[in-house]
Order: sequence, then structure tokens, then C-alpha cells
Amino acid sequence: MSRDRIRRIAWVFGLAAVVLVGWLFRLQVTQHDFWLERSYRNRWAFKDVPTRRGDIADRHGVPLAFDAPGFDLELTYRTFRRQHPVGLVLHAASLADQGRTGISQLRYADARAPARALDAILSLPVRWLRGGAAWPRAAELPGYAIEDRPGDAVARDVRIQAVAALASLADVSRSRLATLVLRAVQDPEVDGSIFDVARAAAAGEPLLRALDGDAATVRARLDATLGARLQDLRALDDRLLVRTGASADASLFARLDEAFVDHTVWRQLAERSEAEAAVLMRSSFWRFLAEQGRTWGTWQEWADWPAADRAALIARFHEERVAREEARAAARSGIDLYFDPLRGGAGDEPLFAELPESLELPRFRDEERPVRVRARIPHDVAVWVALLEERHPGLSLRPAVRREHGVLPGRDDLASLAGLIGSVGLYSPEGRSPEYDAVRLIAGEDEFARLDVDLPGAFEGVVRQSAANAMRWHLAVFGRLGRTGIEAALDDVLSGRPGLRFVEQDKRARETQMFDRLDVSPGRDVTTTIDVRLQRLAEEALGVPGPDSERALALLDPETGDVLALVGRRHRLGGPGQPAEEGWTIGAMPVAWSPYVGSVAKPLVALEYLRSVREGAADAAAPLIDPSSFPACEGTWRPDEAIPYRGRPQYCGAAGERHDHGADARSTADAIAESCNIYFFEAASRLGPAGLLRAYARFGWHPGDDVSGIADGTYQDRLDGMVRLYGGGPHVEVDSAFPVPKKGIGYGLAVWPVFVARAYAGIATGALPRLRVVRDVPAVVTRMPYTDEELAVVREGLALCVRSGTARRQLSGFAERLRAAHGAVLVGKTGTAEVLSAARDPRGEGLNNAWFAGYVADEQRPRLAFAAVVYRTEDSGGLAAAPLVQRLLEGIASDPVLAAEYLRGERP
Amino acid sequence: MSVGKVLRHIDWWVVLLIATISAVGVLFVHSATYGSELEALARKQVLFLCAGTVLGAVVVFVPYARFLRGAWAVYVLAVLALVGLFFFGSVLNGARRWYRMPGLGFALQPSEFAKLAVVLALAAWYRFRDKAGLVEGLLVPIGITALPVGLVFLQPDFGSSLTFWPILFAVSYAAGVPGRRLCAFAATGMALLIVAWSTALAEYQKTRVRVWFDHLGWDRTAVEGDPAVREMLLGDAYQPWQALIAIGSGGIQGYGYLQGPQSRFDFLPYRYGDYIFAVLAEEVGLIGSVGLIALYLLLVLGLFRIAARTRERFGRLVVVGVAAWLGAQAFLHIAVCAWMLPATGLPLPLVSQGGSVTVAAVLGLAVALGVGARPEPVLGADGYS
Repeated sequence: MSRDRIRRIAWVFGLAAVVLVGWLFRLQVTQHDFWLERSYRNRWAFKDVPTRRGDIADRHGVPLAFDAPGFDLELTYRTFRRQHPVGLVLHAASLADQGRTGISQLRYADARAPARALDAILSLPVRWLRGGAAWPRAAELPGYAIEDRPGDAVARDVRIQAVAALASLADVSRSRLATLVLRAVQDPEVDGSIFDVARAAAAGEPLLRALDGDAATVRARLDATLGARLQDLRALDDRLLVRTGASADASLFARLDEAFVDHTVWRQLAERSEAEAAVLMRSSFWRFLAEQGRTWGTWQEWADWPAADRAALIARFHEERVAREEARAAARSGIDLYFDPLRGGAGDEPLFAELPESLELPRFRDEERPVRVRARIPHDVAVWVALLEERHPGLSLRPAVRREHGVLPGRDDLASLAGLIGSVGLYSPEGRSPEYDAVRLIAGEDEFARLDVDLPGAFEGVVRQSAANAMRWHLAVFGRLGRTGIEAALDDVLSGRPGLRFVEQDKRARETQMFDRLDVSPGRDVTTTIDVRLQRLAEEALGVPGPDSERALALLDPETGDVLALVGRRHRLGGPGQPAEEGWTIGAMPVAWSPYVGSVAKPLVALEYLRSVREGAADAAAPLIDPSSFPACEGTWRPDEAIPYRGRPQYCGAAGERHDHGADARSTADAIAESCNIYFFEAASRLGPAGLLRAYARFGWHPGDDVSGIADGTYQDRLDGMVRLYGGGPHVEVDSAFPVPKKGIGYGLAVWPVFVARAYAGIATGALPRLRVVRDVPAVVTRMPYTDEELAVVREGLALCVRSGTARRQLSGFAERLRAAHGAVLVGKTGTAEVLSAARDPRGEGLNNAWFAGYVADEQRPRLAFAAVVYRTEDSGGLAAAPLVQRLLEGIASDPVLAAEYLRGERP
Repeated sequence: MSVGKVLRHIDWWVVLLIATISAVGVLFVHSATYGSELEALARKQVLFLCAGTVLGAVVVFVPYARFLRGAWAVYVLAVLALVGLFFFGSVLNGARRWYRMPGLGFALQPSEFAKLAVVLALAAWYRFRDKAGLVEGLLVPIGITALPVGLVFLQPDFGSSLTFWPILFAVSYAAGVPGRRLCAFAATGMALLIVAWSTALAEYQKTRVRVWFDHLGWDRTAVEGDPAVREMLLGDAYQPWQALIAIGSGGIQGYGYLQGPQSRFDFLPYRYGDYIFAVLAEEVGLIGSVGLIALYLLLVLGLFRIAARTRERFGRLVVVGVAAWLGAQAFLHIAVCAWMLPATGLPLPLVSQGGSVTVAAVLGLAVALGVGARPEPVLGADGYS
């Protein structure tokens, strides 16, 4: 009998051994891949290596934008409230307050709050900490007194937090103190405050020595520690506020209060409904909400949504989740019963499938996420924080880089350039997602993180997915995108690519070996075509715009199309009761309404007309226009006298002046100089719509849809080197509603100043350059189909315009001085496009777009092409825009270096 | 009985198994501490084994009738040692389990020796009580066991307190206590444990049980996506989860000796003691794991064979008790490492690093071998049929 019993016992052990072996078989064979992956994930890591964003410099290497390293100060509130003495004390007291009354008035920003909080927790009676109320918020019931007990959960939370606060302040063993306090709490015989209990427990206990002593001494010790830490925080906050010039709203304590309130709301949420709290902790729920387009910033916002709304969302989430689970289960086979880590494996979805660019995965708004308190803190403050980091858990430094703008900050005289260069920013929920870029970067590196290791099939994808995750994290934290201007346009070039090191590491993150690496590709430096000196002069020349007006100035190298300066100014009245809006237009691309070019278009029409005559084109009815043949035109310019032309009165010439018409080609030059509308009505009429569009297309003012082939190589929808133009709207626009003659004098034709300057560069050189703002882009010019003679006629007209024509009064003297001093000839054309007639202007004055465009040439070649415009001014082009150019050229002329380089052609 | 006779009758297969398991232990303690500041523990373990062997050799040659006479004295001594811990024991990780031995470089853990004391006491109690009633046959033995269990539990050392119960069950059952009575006791014990859940268990123990229950419902999605689970994996579930990773990633063949990354890279805490099996499973895989289980099973079966051969009742019950103690502790250790049971600290006899556990196990085995070396009844009739 006894032997049988022993045998049975042996069988039990045998059976146990079989069960163990079965279990191990399950772990080591059936689930091996899963655990192998976990093992690799433990020790494999992708270490990110930040890249450097490329510098942006002007054409002579003056830095315009560059990366400067620094530190950000961050707050991890969870760590702060769990480990920092100030956070611990305030939270303990707050929890107790809420357990008693349901609310807490304690705030970090209140200087006396920590001391009050310490008083509150030290005086907590242990009998209160026993809990036992039927529900946690019993305090809210009528007749509930402080002496009554809170719920078990609240009592436990308060006890744990209070013990942690006490242990932290006294620097004693938290676990030992917790054990002893718990014993006291559980012992119904013990009474008194938690402070008394802690001191009693500390008697003779080496681990709690700092709490052993008379109450006054121990209390003084606790006060001193709390005071010292608080003083540290205040000193840090003061330094930050003073050194960074931030407002009190942005203080460290304000941030702490935000996090404190958010956490408090979260706790109330969690207390109110465990189910709701549980679902809010699921990343899949956040993803679901993001898919629904429901996002929020704080827990309060979530809590403020109608309860029915929240419940409906949660219910729908559960329904979808169940459906998803069922679908997965249906797709799965051969997977066993209770614990299946392979469920939802990596094979469910392709890892590197094309992602929508706007994909934004949910982000937890939890207190575990470090939030930035202050970006780019001064170096000495950073050192101070680093030295005290151990004493202030929850506050940490994060290396960061800031985009500096060299000569630009604080320089109002370079405001337009700042706009042209643009800005960079972190990835934001509204923009491109780091997930998308991370997957794109890793997917593009086929060989990266493909190891010669015996891995399960799906692992390679998992490893590369981990790499993508590391990259995503890096981009989300450090990644910067160009938001505007050249920074945005050349973002791909400037941003480079962060690197990754694929390493094996131990638990303490010490690397043991490197498997693979993805080398950093630093962002490429970009040299712009801008010359900061010219840019500054151009900005000065533009000055301050008048009310409700805009002005712009573009300066080019006519031979290469290099944009040397690009300035815009805006001053527009706000709406009723709103302040005026001042600033610059990005890249001198104005946003004014009806930005018609007016008469600056005439030289282009003239050239095409002359060419048509030369080629005997069918639309040129006569060899040359004879002004004497105009109805009621006696062959002389008659200012202030209306000439009826095709049923409408037209005015020509400048007031008070008379000029003789010639009957030869000279009359075309005169017509340009005097800006004869009748002449160009006639020219446009003879050219017809197709001829007119051809004229504009050859200068890149029209995409050439209607004149196939003409615009090839001339039309630019952007400045070379930029992805696209910024400033809004098309840069050239032809309003088909205008009749052909009117289009011949620049009405219905909206062209941005930089493209007007380009057209004049074409006239100056006989070849149209493509505009570029980045020097790396090759310069391209397109030869124009005009003869030297034709070009000479128009250039003569432009010269006459300055010497004796519509710009004479403003510029002739200056042009002479320029020629005398530097041998440079200034030529140009005024334009005055009436965008609001006097009849429709309530003031009865009318408004114009006043233009002056042209170029400066020496005896050998043109040096500068320009276009200046003042929108919506009462003045003409000669009066309003020509002085801008004069001021710019005076500035150049007065600077010996610039004058040598740009007026005399002595370029470096 | 002469020394030669003892040597002739000793079960050398069991000795070989003990030696093999001990050698495996030294190897894997070395592996678990290799390259760390604890590398000396393997040498220490060899010393403990040597000390145990010397003491065991003495014990083998002592006629075990003397253990019968001294069983109660040993028991009382063990209980006093456990009580003394509350006054003189040193605290480590919040528990009082050890007596520091000044100048000797180790600490003594009385609970390990208490297991042997309980084995001897139960065997002595049951020696003349093969047909005892409820009180003498079960309740008193429960009391004999419960006293040290209670003291060990209060240290607190929940894991060690668990291994006393298999001893009670095995010895009682071998002594003739009806199986249904034992089953009823087991059921009552479980029910009491559930009732006493909120008061008897410390918060961290309850957490371990809760986490263990929770983990049964985890899948890949939860492990990777649920923040609550992820927090648990870094907190309360960290140790058993890392052990699972070690065991599971070992696969069939394992990474090879000294190559287990969980061990090498320090992810597995207390791996030279409470989680030594995970180290082994990671490095020698399923083959090695099954091999070790087989060694323990063979050892237990060998001891049971000795028990079955022993006609004298005290000696037989002592051997059953030792077999149950070591077998149960070994299997519980493996079950805890594989997270079949909630996490608790339980060393693997002869393998885990530790002086007390090693010496106590060797002494227990020496007593069993001593009994086996004397198969004839030496203590006279006892009513045993």
C-alpha cells in the first residue's frame, strides 16, 4: 500500500514534469519567434544622429540662415509629481483636498502653496487614511465631515503620495517608510498624524534616521529641504524670464500649473469612469479619434464634450474594434488558445506601403510626454540646470538647434529678405507627418538594417519598422521643415537626412556592437543670388509705404537672371476698428488687387510690332504706323487734348509739352518715350489678339497656351531654385475681358515686378534669362527673335523716356550724373495703370499702379535690370516709382564697392 | 554499519545525478554572472557545494536513527531560528530572511534548513501513526508545517513558504493519510487564501498576482500598443517578462553557453538565483531545459525508489519528504521562471547560487542517501505492514 502511494506521488511529479515540458515547448518552439523578437527588441536599438540643416547665404557668402546648437528646457510632469519634492508635496495635498472636498485650490504659481501643502499632509490623521467609505467621493455627500473617511482608493493614493513626499523631503527609504506607515494605518489602535506616525516609526530605524528626532527639528529639516528646492525653481524661473524676455504667462510655474490641472482633470475622469479611463489609455482609441477628426489639447477639452457624445464615440470605437478583431480572427488559423502573442502580427499590413502624406498618428497628451518649457535657453542657464538636474527630477535639458538668421534679426531694413528666406518649424499636426517622412527615408534605403542573422521571415520588416519608428521619433522631436520662403522651397535640399546607428546594447544602453548604420546626409548649403548690400539699399529705397498701399522693387542681373534684390512693402488698412497691417510682401510678390502693369508693357508690344512689320506678317496692315494718319492727330503730341480713337477720346503726351512726330521708325521710339497710347492701340490692333499674346509670351508674361511654341523656354511658373513661388496668385495673368487695344497698353495684364524686370533684362540683352534665386541652378537664357535694329529702336525709346520722355522730370538729371560719374546709362519706361478711375473713386482722384522698369548699362553691356512699382497711388509711374529706382541707384553709386561692381562692371 | 557497507549500499546513481545537477548549477551561475561584478559567485557556489558535500558525507555516515531522536530538537531549533530573524535578522530588500555571518562573507537563511527540519519532524510524527485520525493524522502535521510557514511568510518570503506544503502533502500521503482528506485540506487552504487575499498578502504580492492574471490576456497588440501594459512591462511585470523573453528566445537549441543576451546584457535581474533556469533555458534551449527537468525528475524518482526500498517507516518518510521538497521546489522555480505561476523568489536547489539553499539541499539529500544506504529495518517493528 505504502509503495503504491509513493508510486502515485512519483506519478504526480512525472505529470508535473510533463506539464512543464509542454509549457516550455510552447514558449520555446511555438512562440519562439515572438520571444526572439522581444529579445532582439530588448538589445537592438536605433540611435538617431541629428543632421545639420544647410546654411543659406547671399551671393557673396554672407550668412542669411544657419543652424546654431543649444538646449531646450523640458518638463516631464509625471516624473515631477512623482519624484520632485515640490511636486510630491503639492500633489499629496491636492489629493487629500480632493478626497475631502472634491476640489483643490493649490497651485504652483502661488508662492505659499508648497508650504501650505506640507502643513496639510503632515497633519493628515492616519485614521482618515484608513479609507473605507463606500465610494471615493463620499466627501461630496451632504453632512460629510473631514473626520469621515474617504474611499479606499483615495486613501491609498493620498497615503502613497504623502509617504513619497515625506521620504523625499527627509531623504529616507521610501519603501521602509511606506511599510511602517501602512502598518500604522492598518492598526486601529494607532492614532495621530502621519507626521507623528512617521517619527515614531523612525525611532531606532537606521533607514529612517532623518525622521528620528523631536517634531520641531524634523519639521525644520523638511521645511528647509522644501524651501531650498522651491528656491532653486524660482531662481531658474526668474533667470529664464529675464534672460529670454518671456512674459510671466510663460513661466515655469505656469507650465507646472497647466500640467497639474490637466492631471487633476484626468484623475477625475479616471475616477468617474474606469471604462472611459481605460479606453482613453489605448493608443488605438486615439487613432480612432484622429480618423474621426476629433482631436483636443487638454483633458479638460475632452471632459467638456457632452457626455452622450463621448459615450457614443467610445461605443463606436468598441464596435469597430470588435469587428476588427473578428476580421483578424477569421483571417488567422492554427493559432492556439489563451495567450497568443503572434496575434496581429507584422504581416497584417504592408510595412512600407504608400502612406498618405497627411497621415498623422495619434499623440498622447499624457503627462509622460516631455513638454518644452522654454526653447533655446541661454548657455549659462543650461549649465545651471544641468548641474541641478539630479535635484530636480522632471526637469531636463534637451539638445536642440535653432535656426539663426545672420544679418537679418532685428533688421527692419531687411524685412523683405527675411520673408524671402522664410522660416522653419517643427513638424506639426497640420502639416506633413514625421511618420510619412520616416517611412519614406527608411524605405528608400534598401540595404539598411538587413542583417546576416538567422531571423524569422517577418523580422526583417519588424527591424526596419523599428528603424522607421526611431526615425519618426527623431523627426517628431528634432525634425524641422521649411515653412515659408526659400526654406520651404528648398526644404529637400536644405534639410538633409538624419542618420541612424543600428546597435546592440545592454540594459544600461551601453553599446556593445554596431550592426549597420545609415550615414547622416547633412543638408546642403544654398547660396542665393541675393546680394545683401543691394537688398538693404532696395529696402531703404522703398521706404515706408503710404496708407493702404503696397510697393515693390526687383533688381536683376540681366545677363544671368540672378535675382539680386527683391523687396516688397505692404501697408494696408485693417477692417473697421482694426489696426493697420504692416509688413512686407514675400519676395516682392504683391497681393494688390488689379496689379496691372500699364505702359511698361509697351516696349514689348513695340518689339513684336516691329518684328511683324519686318516679317510682313498678315496682321501688320501697313509697314509702319504713321501717327499723322490717326484720326484728329496732326502729327504732334497734343497734351491734354483728347484724340478720338475708335469712338473713344484718348489723351497723349505729358502735360504742357509738345513733340514732333516722325514718320519713320523713330516715331516708335518717341511713342515709347512719350508713352503714346494711340500708337500702341494701333499697334495692338494690327497685331491682333494672337500677335499681342505672342509679344507677351516671348517675354514670359504668358504661358503660351494660345500661341503654341512661342513661350517654350521663356515662361517661368517659379524662380529657378524654388519649388514654387510664394505670395499667392499667378505671377502673370491676362484678363481676356479687356479689348485688344487696351491690352496693348498693359491693361488686363497682371505681372509681378520681378517678371517685369526680367522682360527689361531681355530687352537689354536681346536674350531672356530665366530667373533664379539659387546660384547652384545653371543660368539659362533664351535668345529673342528680334533684330539688333528692332532692339535698338526700343532701347532708344527707353533712353528717350529718361532723357526727355515721361521720366525726364524725375530722372534726367540723375541719369546724367550717373553717366558722368560711372559711365552708366539709365534707361527705363514708366507705366501708370489706372486701376480706379477718378469717376469711381469717392475722393474723385483715382488710383494707379505706378511703375518704372528698365536697366542700367555701361558701354559694353547691361549691368542691372529693375522694376519698381507703387500700387494704388494717386501718382503716375514717373512720380511715384521712378524715385524709388533713383534712390536705389544713388545708394549703389555712393558705395564705391557696389558702384564698381554693378555700375562700372568691375565685378569680383 | 561500517563505512564500507554504507558506501556499498549507497545509491550511486542518485549521487551522480546530484553531482551532475550541481555541476550544471556551477556552470550556469558562472554564465549568469559572467563579465559582471558578481563573477565571484560561481566560485562561492563551488565552495558552498564543497561545504555541503563535506557536511553531507558526515551525515551519510551518521545512523539515521539519531535523526529520529533529534528530529524535534532540530525542528525547535529551526523554529527558534526563524523567530530570531525578527530580532536579529538583517534586512535586505525589505525582508528579514538572513542572519549575517560576520567574517564569513555569507548570510544564513534559516528557512532553507527549516524545510529539512519539517521533513524530519513530520517523518518522526508519522512514524507510529499510520492509521491516525483527523487530528493526529492531519491537523497536528498541518500545525507542524504551518508554524514555520507562518514565520517564513512573515519575513516575508512567500516563495519559500510555498515549498513546505508539498512536503506535508507527500509525507502525509505516504504515511497513509487518505487522499480525499488531503484534497479537502487543499481545497480549504485555497479558499482561505482567497478569503485572506486582502489582508494576508502584502500589496506587492497582490500586485504580482494581479499582473500574472492580467498577462494571461495579453496579446501582441496589447504588448505593443496598450500604454497600461507597456507600463506594467517596465514595472511590476518586468522580471517575469524578461525571464519569458529569455526562455522563449532560447528556442530549441539556445544561444549557446555564455551567449544568452538576456543574461549577458543584464536584462534579467536576479538571474543567478531566482531566475537561473531562465538563463539555462536561454543558453541551451528546449533541449537543455528538458534535460534539466529530466535530471530533477530522475533525482526525485531515484529518491522515491530509495523510499520504496526502505522498509523502515521514519527513513522512508524522510526520503519522501526530501524528494517532495527538492522536486517541488525545483518545479515551482521552473514554473515561476516560465510565469506559469505569479512571480516569487524561489531558488533552484543545487543550481541557484546561495549558501543556505545549497547546503540545506545537500544535507537533505545526504540524509536520504544515508537512509538508502541502510535498507534493512534498523529501528524495530513499527506496525508497518
